[in-house]
Amino acid sequence: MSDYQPQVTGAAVTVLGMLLVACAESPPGQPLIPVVSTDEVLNLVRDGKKVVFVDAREPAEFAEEHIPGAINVTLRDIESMDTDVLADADVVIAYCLKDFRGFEVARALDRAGIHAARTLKEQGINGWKARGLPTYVAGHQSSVEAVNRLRACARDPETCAKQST
Amino acid sequence: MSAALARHWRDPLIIGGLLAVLGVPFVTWWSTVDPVSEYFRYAVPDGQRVYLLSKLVGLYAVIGFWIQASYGILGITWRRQLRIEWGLGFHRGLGLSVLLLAACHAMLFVAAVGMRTKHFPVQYLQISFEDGFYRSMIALGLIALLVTLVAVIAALTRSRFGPYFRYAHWVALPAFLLALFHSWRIGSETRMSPLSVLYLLMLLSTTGLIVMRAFWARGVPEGSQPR
Repeated sequence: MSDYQPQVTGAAVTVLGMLLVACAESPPGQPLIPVVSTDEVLNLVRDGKKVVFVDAREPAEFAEEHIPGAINVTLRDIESMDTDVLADADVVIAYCLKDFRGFEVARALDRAGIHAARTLKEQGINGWKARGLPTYVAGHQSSVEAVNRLRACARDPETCAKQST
Repeated sequence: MSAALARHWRDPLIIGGLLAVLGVPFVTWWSTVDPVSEYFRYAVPDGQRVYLLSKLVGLYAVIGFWIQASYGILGITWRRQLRIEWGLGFHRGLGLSVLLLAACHAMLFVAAVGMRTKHFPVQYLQISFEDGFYRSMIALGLIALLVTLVAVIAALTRSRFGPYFRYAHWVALPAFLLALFHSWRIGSETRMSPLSVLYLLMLLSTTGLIVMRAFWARGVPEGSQPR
């Protein structure tokens, strides 16, 4: 047993040490990436602002379902992507399921000069759907229909939420 | 650490290879989080740092598993010929470390999701292939972890349950391939260069070693096979 104890102990100590650092409380104050609520997003869409949704998930997940009008950009794509398509956006909302990957993509976009990068206060597409907002689901409707549903929601959020429930 | 392994610390090829293999995941992961101080100077969403740690631990679980699987497939005969026989203690230590890292990876991910959503994410502890790509890939990772546990238990108890029980330990190979696939498909970093090259190397070398071992086992007399 003693022959292999150092390896196991070393691995355990390393992970525990890193966990302690990772769990350190986040300092209050300025967020690394600002958040925006779905209500604010709907207001921006209603006001005709350029809102770009960036889906940070894998292409297979994006193909299954996404926020209407979203583009698919994973973390590994950012270095090679042409950020000009996002340069004139009023708000760029990066998201994934719970915004772990969405946050990382928003941070990478911010570092690439897209300072309008945000994440959703309601945390990702799960939070978006929990608010009763529409998504594009493969095979259920066309992309155009999904975007039109989102615009309708922006004009009348209450009716939109009722339709979804 | 075994004395045999300690002797190899002076071998530049072994040292260089280990440093490269162990350095690539960290460098690739670091390139996505740099500057890491930002995560501590600014407010970040709950669980984000634990999630990042989970990814790093997961990468090292796969790398460790690859070294362990290659070491096991080679068998004692080939390991001696290649002068990389580091003893059973090394194999057991690395095996338990891989299991520990894989379990930590899963627990850290579940903890990160719990911190984010304020609910215990029981859905990620259930194997389901009916809830889309993401849940399916997580299910594969969970299966890989459970099969790895079976492989470790089989190794630790083989002396009690007779010689045929040793074959149960070979389920570690499908477990590794499942873990590799899970990591490749779900991880952003795993398809970033140079980590993607390392992943391809891991797949090709493991497959090649399995094929070589299978042919060797069929083509040589009993007793001279790699053990």
